[in-house]
Amino acid sequence: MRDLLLPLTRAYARPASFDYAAWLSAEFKAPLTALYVIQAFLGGPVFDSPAVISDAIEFLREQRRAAGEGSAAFGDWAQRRGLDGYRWQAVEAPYEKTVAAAADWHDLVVLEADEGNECADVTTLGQLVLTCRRPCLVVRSAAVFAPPRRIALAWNGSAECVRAVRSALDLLQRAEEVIVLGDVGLSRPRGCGSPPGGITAYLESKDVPLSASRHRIDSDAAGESMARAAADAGADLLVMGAYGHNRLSEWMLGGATRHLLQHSALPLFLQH
Amino acid sequence: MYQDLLVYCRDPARWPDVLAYARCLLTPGAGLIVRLHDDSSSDSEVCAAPLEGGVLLTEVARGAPSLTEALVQHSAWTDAVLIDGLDDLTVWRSVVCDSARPCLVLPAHDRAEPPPPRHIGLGWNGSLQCRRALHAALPLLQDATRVVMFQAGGHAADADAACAYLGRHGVGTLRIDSTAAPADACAHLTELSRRHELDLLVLGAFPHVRFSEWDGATTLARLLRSADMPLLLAH
Repeated sequence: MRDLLLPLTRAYARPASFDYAAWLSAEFKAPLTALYVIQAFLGGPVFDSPAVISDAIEFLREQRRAAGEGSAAFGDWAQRRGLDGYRWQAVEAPYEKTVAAAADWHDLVVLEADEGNECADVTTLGQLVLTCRRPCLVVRSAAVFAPPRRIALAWNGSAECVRAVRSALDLLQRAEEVIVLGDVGLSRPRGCGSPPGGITAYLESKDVPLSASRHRIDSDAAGESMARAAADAGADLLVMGAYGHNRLSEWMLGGATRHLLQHSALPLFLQH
Repeated sequence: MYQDLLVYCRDPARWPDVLAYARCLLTPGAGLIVRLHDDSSSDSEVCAAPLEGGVLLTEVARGAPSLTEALVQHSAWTDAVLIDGLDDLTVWRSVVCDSARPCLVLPAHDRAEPPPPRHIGLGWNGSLQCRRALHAALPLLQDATRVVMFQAGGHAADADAACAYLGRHGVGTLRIDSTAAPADACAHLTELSRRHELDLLVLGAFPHVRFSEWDGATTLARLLRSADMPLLLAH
């Protein structure tokens, strides 16, 4: 893990994703980029009203001001946390496209989950997980940070799972215990091949402290079942492949990824 | 250096050379080389065996899927894919685009043993694919003794950002701004690569939709057929 990306749309808020990003940056000596995305004001039903236009202009001015002042505030915060490598970038562009483009330079995107913020709700988070081509760590904004010592790994052998496991290896190797949540009916099984011995042998060959027990997951309600199994196992992070089904069926039927993005109190390490 | 590598070598006589090249791409004292066998009659796996220097070699038979499908499927377990002995643009495109892994292609017509990638060139035009290629090649760039960036297209500020990114990761870059016309880009890149004695050229690949590349006339297609050095491609 070499570079971390922390996208934000509020210059002064410090949700739990900041604590997580700071811990990761210190633990892996990975530079942290705070990407402040300035949003155009699109709300309001009547755009030709002078009041709405002046509000929109003031909103934009306020954000531009915050982009400048937020840099210093972020620098103070990073120094108080003892971070060596950190950068503040302000960009005026659509949020999802900007984050997806910036993710190409980074190894992990740390995202805030907050249903009250349109850039951190389940729809936006889902879109980012699908388009970023990088693993995303989703942390609920009001969560209390705990270092990931016990990690639950949702495993069903899909390509998304394999990618998530490989991206999370650095975290899995540092954990005290990794618990496999097996037979997860998240996506259709796909032959991704596997090293001799399967996932267990692979993780053991990478010095991952694997727990022997496997928790069964109810494939009819995989999201709820996984959240419950991870909580029962005392996990403080859930690693999983995201959106194994196509987006439409996830949207129509309410997939496990969507359920967890909406309801999970645990931080989620997701990769599509 | 990479941790795990998927290797496909069509000609068994070339395997020692390809294996030697694969080993110099891996982290010393660690790593896994997965060799994809071209045996479609079996899908059995061969147990892993240690190689000299802490590298583990495991062999996997292709089994029923097509070569492209097998490469894409098995690549999920590795950091990069190394391909030797193929000159099929369709396979390269599918593997590069669908695997989301960097793909190293050894020159199809040059049978000499490729040297370790110490002098590396970066083709830069500011595209998303170029950024991803640069990011994917970073483990190799950090161990290179010479890195040359050829900028042809894109904003100068983007190229500055790329050099700054490499600098933050301890990679010093010599930047050369090219004014070659797109039609001459292949010849120009080849000439610059020879002049700077490059061992590896890193490129963003297949930025266009597949339809527009059917004529095979792109710079990349020409390079893949004529280059005498390995290419690292990312989509």
